[in-house]
Amino acid sequence: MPEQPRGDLQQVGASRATRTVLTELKDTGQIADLVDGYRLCIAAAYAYGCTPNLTRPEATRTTMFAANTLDTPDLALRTAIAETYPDARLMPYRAAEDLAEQGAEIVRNLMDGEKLRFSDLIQKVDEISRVAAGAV
Amino acid sequence: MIIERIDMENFGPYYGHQHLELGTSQHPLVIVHGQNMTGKTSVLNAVRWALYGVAKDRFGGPLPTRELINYDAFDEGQRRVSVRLTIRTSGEEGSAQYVLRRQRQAKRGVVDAESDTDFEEFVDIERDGDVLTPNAFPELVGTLLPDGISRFFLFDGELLNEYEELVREGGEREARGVKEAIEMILGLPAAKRGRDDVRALKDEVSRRLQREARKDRTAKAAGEELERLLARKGQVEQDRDALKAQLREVQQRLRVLDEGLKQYEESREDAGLKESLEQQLSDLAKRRARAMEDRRVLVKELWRDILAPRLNGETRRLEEERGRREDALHRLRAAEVEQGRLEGSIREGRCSHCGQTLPDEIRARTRAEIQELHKEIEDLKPLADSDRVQELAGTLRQLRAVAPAGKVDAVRLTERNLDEINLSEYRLRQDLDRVKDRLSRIDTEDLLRYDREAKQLEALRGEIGGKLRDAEKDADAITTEIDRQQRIVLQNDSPVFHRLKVELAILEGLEAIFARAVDELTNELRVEVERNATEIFKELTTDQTYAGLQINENYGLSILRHDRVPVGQRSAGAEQVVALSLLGALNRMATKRGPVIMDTPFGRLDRSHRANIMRFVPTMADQVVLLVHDGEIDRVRDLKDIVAQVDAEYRIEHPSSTRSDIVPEAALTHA
Repeated sequence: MPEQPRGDLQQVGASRATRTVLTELKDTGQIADLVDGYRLCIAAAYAYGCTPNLTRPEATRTTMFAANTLDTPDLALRTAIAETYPDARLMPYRAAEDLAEQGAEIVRNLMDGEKLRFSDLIQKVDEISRVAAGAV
Repeated sequence: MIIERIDMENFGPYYGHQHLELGTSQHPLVIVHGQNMTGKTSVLNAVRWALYGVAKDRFGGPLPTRELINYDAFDEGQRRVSVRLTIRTSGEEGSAQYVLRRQRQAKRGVVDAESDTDFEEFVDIERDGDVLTPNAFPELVGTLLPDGISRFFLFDGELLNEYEELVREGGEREARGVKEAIEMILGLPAAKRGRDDVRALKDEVSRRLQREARKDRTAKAAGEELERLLARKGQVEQDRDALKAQLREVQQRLRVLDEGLKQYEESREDAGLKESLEQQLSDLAKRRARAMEDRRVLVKELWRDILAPRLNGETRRLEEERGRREDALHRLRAAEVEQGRLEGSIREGRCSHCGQTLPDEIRARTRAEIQELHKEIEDLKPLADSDRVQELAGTLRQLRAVAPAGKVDAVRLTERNLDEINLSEYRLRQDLDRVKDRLSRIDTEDLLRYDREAKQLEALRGEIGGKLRDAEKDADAITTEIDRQQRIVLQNDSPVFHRLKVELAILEGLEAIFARAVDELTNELRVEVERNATEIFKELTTDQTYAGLQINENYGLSILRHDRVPVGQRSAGAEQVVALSLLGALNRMATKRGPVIMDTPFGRLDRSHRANIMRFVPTMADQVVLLVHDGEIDRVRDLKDIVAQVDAEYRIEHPSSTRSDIVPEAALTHA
């Protein structure tokens, strides 16, 4: 039975798979800090139109950053998530954590070995936004 | 004469039957590409062996028959090797096609054929399809391309070594072979033969004089002394010949060592190239590190640009919602005001605008309007949520604050830069691997040994040279004494003696005339060789400040500086350019025209000289076959100007260490 969310998170974490993707990006000099990759994964999932699963079990994730380290001083991530996903309005960082998991999967699929062309991600996001605009 | 086709069977690295078509069009140039040790020299050797029955190893020695047979074929029990040349000649008497075939096979009954005596040789000739007697083979070859001048048509590294002897101080003895061949190709031997015939006649008369002299007492003593001196002269000449033989051996060994040292020279060039490639790779690594750092900085904020497209969509959606809600709020307020006004009119029984009493019909219609307004108000209420409108205003303010970072173009540019760096690095690494591979084949121990031995042999060569000079001085002294004794003998005054003296004087005069004629012809030819070689040299050299070339007694050529002073030390590349100039001049002046086959002709040359020589080569002869490796020429770059001159191109493939295959190369186009 899935674990029920109990409010928002103070600390965000990642599964082993997500951590591997981020570590590879950092070890190969593609990102300066793990948190840069983490934010990018959240943004990728968001841009791909993913919906956060707020009831996903937390057991497999280990803590990585404090929520206030992840977000910007003007709480840009929190705002974007809370306003885009009404269900996540009360737990935007829990949503962010799940989006990071989904985003890591997207990034991993775009990687050629250990290398990621960020231009490929930009290109994909452009394509998706054009399709979305057409659908509207 | 041109070679139309070469057919080889189990020759060297070529297993089974393989062939090259060389004369399929009017273009002079045929190029055979092949890496080192894959069989380029074997193509040259196949032609040489078919014509003269001798294939040479890399040091100029003859290859035994066993070494000619392909190893795989030999292992399979085949004991036969053959080469067939199809040759076309054209001249005043018309055109003819000759087929010359040389074949060696193990003698019947010999199972372990190893030495040359275990093999027997067959030759066949056909002229325009008619079979000729095999006895005519040597004569035909002598007519087509005599062995004595073949070195100027079948050009390999050995000729270059010999040529270097022509210009080396004291190298004239070693260069005698090539000097004689030069004179042969220029047609000088005809005049020399006349001189030698007269000299033989003179010697005969001289001998008869000696016999006659023995009859006189004084002359008899002189005659006996003369005989002793002649015997002594014979001994000195024998010693001198032994020294010459020793010198030849030293020279031969020095050539072997020179070959080894040449490899070292190439490997030194490779070492320089390796260093340069490693430096370029290091520079690229720095560029990559900078580009990666730039990208890491850009990527820190890139997430905002990734969010942006959807965020903009969300913002638009919320703005539309706010618009709809504000519109509903306005319409709700307007409907409530109108409802209040109408309800007041009903309540007071008069119109709220004009104050007139409302008739029953109007009252009923007003009540219906109030009902409709009430319904509209109820419908608008859920949408006209002022709290939500206020909330939306706040949310939109916050969403707009999540502004894109504007890093997309910079990230794309940086990654394009990284792509270029990666591509350059890939190419440089490929080049570096090739250079490293070549360097890994060099045995440094061997090179040091070559170097040591070469120094010892140089010293020995000097020592033998000294002894040889002494021996020649002895011979000269004896010759002087012989002349003196001969004069005593000639004082005899019998009629027979007198007649013989007259004959001798006439023959001596004739000999002098012939000798002068030979000298004058030699000088004229030498001047002509110098003129032609200078013309070609100026075409080939990239340094146009040189005044030209100067020829010496041995046909050796020195480069003249702008002030006409000979250049002292010449580089290996310059040596090759000068040698090619001589070769070109001799081919222009040759009494015989033949195909030129050049093995690894560009090995010592830089790119600019290579380009000049590539343009010159097709003009050297009616047919020029170049056997080159990839390090010597770049097909696309070096052949682009002369692609119209190319008749055919082949590539030697090397599927195993014991086999090579000749395959046609796809033609290059003018583009």
